[in-house]
Amino acid sequence: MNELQNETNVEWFGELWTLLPERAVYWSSQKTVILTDPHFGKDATFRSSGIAVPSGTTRRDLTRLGNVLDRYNPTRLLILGDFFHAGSSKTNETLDFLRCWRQHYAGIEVVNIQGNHDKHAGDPPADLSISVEMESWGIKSIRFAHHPDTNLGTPLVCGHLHPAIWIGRLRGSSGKLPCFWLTQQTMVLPAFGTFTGGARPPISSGDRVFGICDNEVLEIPVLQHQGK
Amino acid sequence: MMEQPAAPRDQFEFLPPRVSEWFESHGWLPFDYQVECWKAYQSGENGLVNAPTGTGKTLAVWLGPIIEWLSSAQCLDSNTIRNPARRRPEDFESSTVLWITPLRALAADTLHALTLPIKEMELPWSVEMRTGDTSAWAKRRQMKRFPTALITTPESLSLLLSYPDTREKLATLKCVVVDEWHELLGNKRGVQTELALARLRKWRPELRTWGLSATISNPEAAAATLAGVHGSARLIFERRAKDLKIRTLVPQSIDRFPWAGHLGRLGVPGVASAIGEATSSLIFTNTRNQAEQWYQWLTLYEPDWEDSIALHHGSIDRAERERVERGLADGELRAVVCTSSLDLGVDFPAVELVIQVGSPKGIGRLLQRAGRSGHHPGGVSKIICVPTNAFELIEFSAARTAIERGRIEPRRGLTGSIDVLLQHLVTIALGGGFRNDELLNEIRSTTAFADITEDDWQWALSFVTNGGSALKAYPEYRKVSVENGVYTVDNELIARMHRLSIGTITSDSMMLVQYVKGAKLGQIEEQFVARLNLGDRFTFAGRVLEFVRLKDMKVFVRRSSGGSGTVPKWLGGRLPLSSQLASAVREKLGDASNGEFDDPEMLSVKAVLAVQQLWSRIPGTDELLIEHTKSREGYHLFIYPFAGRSVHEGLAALLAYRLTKDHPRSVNASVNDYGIELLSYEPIVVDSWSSLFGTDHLTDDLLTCLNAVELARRQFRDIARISGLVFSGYPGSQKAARQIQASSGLLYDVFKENDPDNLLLEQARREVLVGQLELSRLKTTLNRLSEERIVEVKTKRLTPLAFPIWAERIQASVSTEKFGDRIKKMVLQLEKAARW
Repeated sequence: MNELQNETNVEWFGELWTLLPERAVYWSSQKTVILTDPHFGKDATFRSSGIAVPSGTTRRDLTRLGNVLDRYNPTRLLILGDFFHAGSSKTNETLDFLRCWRQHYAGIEVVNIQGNHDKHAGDPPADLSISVEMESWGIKSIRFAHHPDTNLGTPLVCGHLHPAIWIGRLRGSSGKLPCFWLTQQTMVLPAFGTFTGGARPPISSGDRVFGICDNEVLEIPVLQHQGK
Repeated sequence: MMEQPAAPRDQFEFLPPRVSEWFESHGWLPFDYQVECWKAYQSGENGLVNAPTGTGKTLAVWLGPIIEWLSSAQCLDSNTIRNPARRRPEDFESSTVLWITPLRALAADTLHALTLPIKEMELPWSVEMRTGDTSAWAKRRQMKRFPTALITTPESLSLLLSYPDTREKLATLKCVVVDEWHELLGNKRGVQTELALARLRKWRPELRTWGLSATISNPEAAAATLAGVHGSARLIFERRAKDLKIRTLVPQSIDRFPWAGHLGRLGVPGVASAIGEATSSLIFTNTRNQAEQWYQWLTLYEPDWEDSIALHHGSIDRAERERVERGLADGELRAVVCTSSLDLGVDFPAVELVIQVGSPKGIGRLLQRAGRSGHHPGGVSKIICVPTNAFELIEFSAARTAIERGRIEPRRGLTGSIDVLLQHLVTIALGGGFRNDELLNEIRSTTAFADITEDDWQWALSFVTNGGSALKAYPEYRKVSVENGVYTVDNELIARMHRLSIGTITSDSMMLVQYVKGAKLGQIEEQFVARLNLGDRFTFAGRVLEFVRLKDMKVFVRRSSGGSGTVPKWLGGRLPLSSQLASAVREKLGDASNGEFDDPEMLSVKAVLAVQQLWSRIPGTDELLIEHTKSREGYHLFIYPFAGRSVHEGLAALLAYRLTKDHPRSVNASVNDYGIELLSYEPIVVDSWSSLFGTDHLTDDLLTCLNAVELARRQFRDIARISGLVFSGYPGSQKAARQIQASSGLLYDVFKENDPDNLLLEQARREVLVGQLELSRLKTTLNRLSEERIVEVKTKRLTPLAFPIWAERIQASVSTEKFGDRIKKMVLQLEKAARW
């Protein structure tokens, strides 16, 4: 238990943020764990369309989340949207996993900020006691939202983009790593769900990128993947 | 087309008057092998016709059904035929022939070839095409009134099988023809064709199957695969070979230290003058990258030709490619620079000359490409080979000798393609449904699945019915449902999705290249685009372009003013040397080691081989040459098995792994078609070569030492698409499908984590071992190596054989500018040493 994970602390807007290899962030001063884009039940959506994807991703993702919650014992879990993947994700199996997880961590306040998928898939059912926020949400001077918005003028933590970077292109052994992408104004978190894709974000010089490689969060020098 | 000598007249007295009159009207006489085909067809046999292109193969099979029909009672009343007004459609226009062609581009040409005799003999037959290009309207009309003969592709045939009323439409089918069967054999489209043939035979047990094939070395196996497990096909050969002239453009001076690609430009003047002398030429290159480069070089060299030289490769927009093909067919183009994109396809009678840039890497490929020229009565195929490095001269010489001796590569059908089977199961469930045992018997009648186990079959069934293994069923899953033992698809959405994704041709993730103003240029691999930054210049479709933006999977570009851009390197550009050509090369070197240089190519590389002999040795045919070299980089070990790049890749990884297993150290491996370089900071000492080359634990060792997971993950792309896991969306309404889109790599990870026993994962691993690493060739090579006499030589510096392997490693690890510098420096050093 509580074995030391290779997490990385960064200072951003005067606050200390712990980037976790479990694809989440711990904000210690607020005792809050933040994650985004879990896309729970995505496997079930595929199956209901006749694509035989095995189940297991939702259960494993919840186990991973449990590890984080056990380790930091936060008072609040903040989810930045895209809770369910689609309406067809809410099968009995998915919901059973979620209820079981929620009961185990009943003492934690859970907030979901609506993302684009939530609008079609619907909010988490009431018995999961997850409060839902429509727009952005603030703690101290930091805003939290699903979509990145550079016009906000205040520091923003968000998701939606599923940022990932490719490393090691030579000799074919390329690998795609989910990453945290920090710019002047925004911190974009990697998608929490393991059954989600990733896309390379438009990184500019001055940004910081932290890739997740197995159980480690490693800072990736920006120039290296900027150039050819 | 039909010239003397041919069959004596009495041999074809059995021909209906209309056919013999038709031959007479053209002044032709049928060939012996054609008569053999027609007779075999009348007696109900299947057949596989092996003949070079341009020798009347099409008529050899097409006239069979026509002769039969003319001889049958149906058309005794010739008045009926000649007087269309008295025709009753049900008398004549019943489906008779299904003609499967591997290329939809070929369908139009085939249509023309099949229609000509029909028209001239005034037969009341209809011939139509049905491919991916056929409009929905035309397809509906065909289903109302099926043509006498239908030309289609394996994919479109599969799609036909997914409609329940197809069986009734084909109720009078007599013959199915598979054109260019050698092209389908050995890939998944071939497996798809085998499954479709099995279905057609089940519907029409007396159906005759005829195949057309270019020359291959194992026609018996090809015929057996075509006819299926329960049938047989007569092999018919056209033995009179078309005249073939192979010449090599021997460069005036040869570098003693050649590396891949570098001689290329020197060949431009020679190629230009050859093009100038021919009415029309095809210039084959091995990669799209090379094609782009040669197009640039030729138009720079002869600016006047800019409008009469064109570029043709698989990434260029289809409309543009069709324009080029028309230009070739009409004889308007002087030359077309192309890749394997023109290996197959429409015949261009105007093409007089073929130029092969770089080694063809296979004997059959050189032969096939040569056959694209002189495609007219009495035509002579002419091919000029242009080496891009000195050793390719040996390969050209070896290929020519192999052709003279008739040693051509075999083609074998695939087995164990579970992905294709899964697709077929859904197709058949859609097309009227199936029963478990009946379909299993049908599937087992194909060579591809003759040995499928009961377990694998049950797994496949459960995968399409309950979404998982038999132990786990998902209630939300629906694809194929079972009722009273009949498997069907009852969901309209699933049916539509499946029909949209039928097909097995792999397509890498491609992005459309388009001008900002709108005109489309073609397709480019996503991986290349991923490396581009805004404003970067690159060469594509013969133009220098500037990358403007990326949006909706489209690469927007504008024409760049001046300068040259990097040429995109497309994936999979490198063909490995075939085993046949590799062993022919070994023999040439063996001759050289005995001082025999018997043709212009070998004479021209004599100087290179002399340095090799002086510094090290030219390996004899029963020798394995191993060179030890020490340099500032470390200790190099060069081993020359001459087994081709793909085998060497596996072998190099294996040797590096075995060398470091007991003595941990860092060993860097690189390969080319001839040999392997192992590089280490410490001396590499080998106690026992025989145990290093042993085949014990081969598969385990390979899986451990290669990044097998990563390789399998990439292999899974193809499998996921074919088995219906990756759905690319509805045309024009991609948004609706976005929820169920995932990359094959992501799916691979999800399966591996949550369903590790899935047979599709197993298939990916097997395809990596068998297909990519060529396990059986690797085994054969290891066995051969352990029998060969090992000759170890210490060399002071890189030998001519070693240099290209070294250069390739450097190229892979440094930027383009630095590469040029390092190569130049090394060549200077070596040249200085060679002059002493």
